[in-house]
Amino acid sequence: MIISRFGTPNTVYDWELITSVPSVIGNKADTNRRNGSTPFDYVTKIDPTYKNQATKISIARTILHEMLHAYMISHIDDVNSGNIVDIRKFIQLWQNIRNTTSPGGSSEAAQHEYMAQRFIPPLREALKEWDGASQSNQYYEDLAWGALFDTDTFKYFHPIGSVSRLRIMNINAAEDNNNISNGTSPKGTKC
Amino acid sequence: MKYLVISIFYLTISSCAAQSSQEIRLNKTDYEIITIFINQMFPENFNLLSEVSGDNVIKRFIGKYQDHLKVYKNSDSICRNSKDIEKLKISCPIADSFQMYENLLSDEDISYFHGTYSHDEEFEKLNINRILNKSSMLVVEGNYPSLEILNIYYNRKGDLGIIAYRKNYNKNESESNFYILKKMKNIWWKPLGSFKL
Amino acid sequence: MQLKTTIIFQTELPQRVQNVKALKRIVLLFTICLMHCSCKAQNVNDFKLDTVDYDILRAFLEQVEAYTYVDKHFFNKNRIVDFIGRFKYHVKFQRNADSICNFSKDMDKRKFYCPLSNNFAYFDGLIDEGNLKYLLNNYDNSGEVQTMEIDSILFKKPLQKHSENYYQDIDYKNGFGRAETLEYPSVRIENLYYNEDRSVAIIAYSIYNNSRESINNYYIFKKTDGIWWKPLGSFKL
Repeated sequence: MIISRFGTPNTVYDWELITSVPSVIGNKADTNRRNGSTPFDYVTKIDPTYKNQATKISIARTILHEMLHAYMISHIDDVNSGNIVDIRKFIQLWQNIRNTTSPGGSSEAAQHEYMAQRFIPPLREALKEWDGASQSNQYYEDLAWGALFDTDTFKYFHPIGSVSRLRIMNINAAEDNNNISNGTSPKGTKC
Repeated sequence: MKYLVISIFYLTISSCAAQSSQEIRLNKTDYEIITIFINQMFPENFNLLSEVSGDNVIKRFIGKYQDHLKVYKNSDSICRNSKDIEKLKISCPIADSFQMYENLLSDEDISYFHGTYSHDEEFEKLNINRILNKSSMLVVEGNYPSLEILNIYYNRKGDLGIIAYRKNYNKNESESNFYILKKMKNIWWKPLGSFKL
Repeated sequence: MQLKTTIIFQTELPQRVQNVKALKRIVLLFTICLMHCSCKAQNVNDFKLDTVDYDILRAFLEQVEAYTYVDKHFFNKNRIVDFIGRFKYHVKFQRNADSICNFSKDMDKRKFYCPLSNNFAYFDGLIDEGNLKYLLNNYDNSGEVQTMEIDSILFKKPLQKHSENYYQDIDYKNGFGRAETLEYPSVRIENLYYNEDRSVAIIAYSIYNNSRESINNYYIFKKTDGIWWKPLGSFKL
């Protein structure tokens, strides 16, 4: 469904994936409207240093994660043009957008919260399929949590000090940097 | 025909058993404002209790409202009249954030509340699924922290909703407050928030 | 300058009158040049945060979640074009939502759009086209990073100062410029803008977190009663 949104011929939604320094230095990647404000036209920038260093599965995870951002921003653009057909699917996202008031409570944070609540199993399955299911379900699910460590949902299921939290963070760091992280080795291979 | 009469009789008896005569049924508007209240106040892991206690807390609500109105009037007066810049820097933001209490309730509303809600009430149980389907609130099995709805009040015009609630942190620690919502353009309920003092 | 003038007087005495006129011109030109350079220098290098700036920084940090780290640098980054684009998007969104709220015959649509229109109402009329041009003309540049008086802005709320190790460790320019010291989330003040009559202030900030999924955003304040800065909020869409 998400792929058809961007991939159908003559679709109004345009999503471009490029290797370029993200707008926030230090991010692995980010996705925004083109020039910050053009609706239905999205650009994902993947950091070149990250791309040259990370394992393939880490990059695959990042692309899926950014695709979800593009999907959610496109939904916001739909709403901006008066189309609320999908609104039931995104009710939690709009609740987050309306309720958060702190400077950290931006749309990106709301999108992450929504991903953490709804998209961990689909991300796990997509990574597993892409990788030929050569590893355990746990491994793919741990990777699906990448970039979502600051969500309340992650903190709830994997609280500070828990074994699972440390395992998830180490697996993601190992794959992101293609390096051993606190004794955890990457399982993926470099591009 | 005989079976029909028996069925109707049976249905009547069972519905009587399910609901006592004084029990207040929660309607669509009640669920609408409870859902907004929960979405605004409880994004985290509270256990929502299905019992609505029906405690009579209207006097406490009116007292708190009057305290807040007083704070607004005092700070607004200082903000308008003082020449002391330090005082102004404190009073003006307070007046701004308490401004919602100005004219929120008329004297008529207050008499109406006293007259209409002067005793404990008995409510039917909350249908929690009806709320959680529209809410991001994660329910944790277990007792604490829990959220208990104590009562629901409306003004005479029905354009002001008040939810009396209690947050229970553990057996000995709890916090009661009132959440106020105002019907806007006769379409949607604007959450005004809980008392701050 | 004085010394040089004296030497010329001594060596070329016969043409003294003419030279004095010429020198006056040179001195004047030099003075203008110096003044001009010093103005420029003040914009870029000697820009100092004043008491109003600090008032707004304090008001901003009161909105930040407790226990967030606050970077001591004021980064002076150029973020104005991005701000204007995002601001315009929010204004458009608010106007569309308001129009549907007021005129749609579909009750479900009105129930969805009316609260959003109300939520974003402050964007409408906050910064007009003239002021957006003013912002672009006056702030479309970057400046030197400067160090803020961090103790004077971190006293109201339990926010945290970064350790010295953090500052030694971090490389702000590197794409992987993350400190090994796990002092996150960390808020960085990247710039501060005012509209022409200084009734609206905008803080450009970033919040760096542990996931390398940091955010850029803007927080808007409005001067109210001519006395205090009312926090209006940040971009959400």
